[in-house]
Amino acid sequence: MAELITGLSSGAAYALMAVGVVLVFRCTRALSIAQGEIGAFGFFLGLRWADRGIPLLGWHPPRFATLLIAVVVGGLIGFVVERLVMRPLVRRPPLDALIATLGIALFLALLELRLFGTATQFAPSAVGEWKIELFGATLVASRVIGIVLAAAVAGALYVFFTRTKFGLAVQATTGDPTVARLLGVPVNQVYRFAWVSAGMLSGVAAALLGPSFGGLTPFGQTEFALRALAGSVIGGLDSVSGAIIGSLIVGVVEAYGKAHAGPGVDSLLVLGLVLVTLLVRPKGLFGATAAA
Amino acid sequence: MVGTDRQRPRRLVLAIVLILAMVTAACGARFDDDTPVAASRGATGDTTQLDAGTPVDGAVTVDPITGETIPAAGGPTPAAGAGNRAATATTRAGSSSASAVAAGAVEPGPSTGVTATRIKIGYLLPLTGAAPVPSNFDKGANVYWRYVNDRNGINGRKVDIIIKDTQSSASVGKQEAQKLIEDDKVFAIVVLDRLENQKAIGAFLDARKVPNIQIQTPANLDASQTWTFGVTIDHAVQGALIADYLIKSHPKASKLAIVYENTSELHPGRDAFTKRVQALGKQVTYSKAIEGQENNFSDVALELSNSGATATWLYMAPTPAAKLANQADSAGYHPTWFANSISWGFDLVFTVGPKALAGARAFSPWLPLTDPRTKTFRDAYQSQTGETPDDLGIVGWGVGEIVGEAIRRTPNPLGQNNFRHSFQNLDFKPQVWAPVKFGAGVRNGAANVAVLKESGGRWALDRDFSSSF
Repeated sequence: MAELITGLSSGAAYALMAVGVVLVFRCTRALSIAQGEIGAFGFFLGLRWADRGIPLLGWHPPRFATLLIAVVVGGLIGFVVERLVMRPLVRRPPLDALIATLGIALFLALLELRLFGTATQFAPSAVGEWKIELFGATLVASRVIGIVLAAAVAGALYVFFTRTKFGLAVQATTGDPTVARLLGVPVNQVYRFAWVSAGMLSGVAAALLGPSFGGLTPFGQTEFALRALAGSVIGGLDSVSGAIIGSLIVGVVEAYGKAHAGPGVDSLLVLGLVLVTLLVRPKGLFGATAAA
Repeated sequence: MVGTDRQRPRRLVLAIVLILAMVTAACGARFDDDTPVAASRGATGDTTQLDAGTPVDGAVTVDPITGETIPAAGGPTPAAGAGNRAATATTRAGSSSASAVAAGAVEPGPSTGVTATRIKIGYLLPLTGAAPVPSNFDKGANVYWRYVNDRNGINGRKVDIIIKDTQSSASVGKQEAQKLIEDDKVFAIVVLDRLENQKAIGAFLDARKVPNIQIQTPANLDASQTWTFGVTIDHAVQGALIADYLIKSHPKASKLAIVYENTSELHPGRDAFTKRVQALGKQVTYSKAIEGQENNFSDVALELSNSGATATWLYMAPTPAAKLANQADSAGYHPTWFANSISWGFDLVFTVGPKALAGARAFSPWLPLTDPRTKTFRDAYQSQTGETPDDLGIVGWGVGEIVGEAIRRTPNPLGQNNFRHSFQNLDFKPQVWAPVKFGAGVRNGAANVAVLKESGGRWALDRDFSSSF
């Protein structure tokens, strides 16, 4: 049971990132591998400023502010990425966008290496040190908040996509951007919304995942992003709830793989699951659109 | 094409010259591994250490592979000693041949990288890649050699170092080693990388007959690698010592755990640890391999917590060690964490896991920065770089001390073979590093470790260099 709880809590952490992946895919049809590093960069910056003070101001932000900095910087990077990199690729084949996001992830990770060094950054929890015991497993504050947030974001996105005018415009855009444009849907705004929101979500995920997993390292969040991507493919790339369920499945498979098989086998199991999903049900468990 | 009559004699002469050159090269000055020259440099005493494979009339020879002393016909039988260190061949006065050898004169060998005023030393370090060392690591080496050069170098020669990046890869490391040998023409090479990479690079350098100093020493370093010298404790020897320390000294544990990176190079250390724990009547309640690049150690944290182990050896690099300890701490598990030599015994880890790693212990080949004996290093580092010294730089300084001493003890003319001979006989106590003592057949000169303990977010000396606990 403890393994199940540990796996579910890891899965919930991945889910937070998977929601961002789905949001971008749903709005722009681009598969983002950069979802991890966009937020990580902001959180790195928050930790650096908390430690050394904000340049020129000299003010050391409190712990909770590191999360806010991660969110704001994540959103800003999302904005820049959308405007400078992704928008020119809108009419290009999906593979171009995928490769572009890989480039963005590598660029940000290498920039982190250059600016913050190779050593792991100590990442104190932005949401406190409290923890809860559940069936023999200990869940720290950042994980509990992660689970709650993942559920809350999923609910909010459901309402947004089904109950708001802009959400419906997003749906129209993903159906056919050209027609949507002719009908007056502000397509560029939709794209911007997707990338900025995903960047902000990535910031939240980094600020919660970093402390949960013992610190922050360049490329570290990309590993989580790939797990999130696996969860999204399993659950359905255009389904927020599917991505969350898929991520939970990934977390549980990973936990059992690690506990009962050799090192690295958990990754093999997860990738095997992705392959089976793509072969048997390309749309994922709850998706309406195939991954490729 | 057919040559003209005028061209034919020229070709013939060219061919003869070429053949002569090849024959001359084949028969020319050569040296055999460890073959002393019965030269007339004068005897220095009645007792001397011999190199592996040295044949001495009426005395003893040393097996070049095992380092065991082999009595020659009619010669004295060497006293039995423990381990291969005791296999150092000793001859007594009375044998004229032995006296000649006692001069210690060895064919110098190639003087690549050496001029009348300079010596070129190469360094292969993982500056980038999957498991890079922090940048201050190479600064220590630079600081040491500049310190030496500012004091007129070694035996009148100044030392230039060339640092190359292995990118944490054995194949890149070997390519860079080749460049150091062929393009930069270095005299000797110091290597540090992940154990498996370092082992591969060491074997490559040994095959090229380049003196190479391995900062990490793989378990059971091949005795036939006579150009390779390890300057830290052998992993298998260390595994047993860690068990001794954790059970007998601190925290006097009866249940122990080990979590190690998933590479077969660490298995001898792990196995020696497990075997010794069992021999001492205690239990290894948890033993698990992890991938060093992983981030999620929730499962290990949970299992460790359930194992009841009060001391846990994290046999891995600093990054996974700190992450794992942090995740275990979050799960409420806080044993005595233990670091082996050259793993995560750096102050840096406490900035990543200040709370989780409180009370940790480590075996270390170098002294902590807080030890007064590191003052020369600290002063030199501060004055040369203008930066606050850290213990990452100590590694470069300490290894520099050892290499420098071996050069200092090598007689002129300085060559790679007599440098190797000096290293093979080196018995030296550096300022900041564990004493090293080589001998015939001994590939690893370090048998001692210092015990460090966490104190106020830094490593402090708990016990001075020792080879038993």
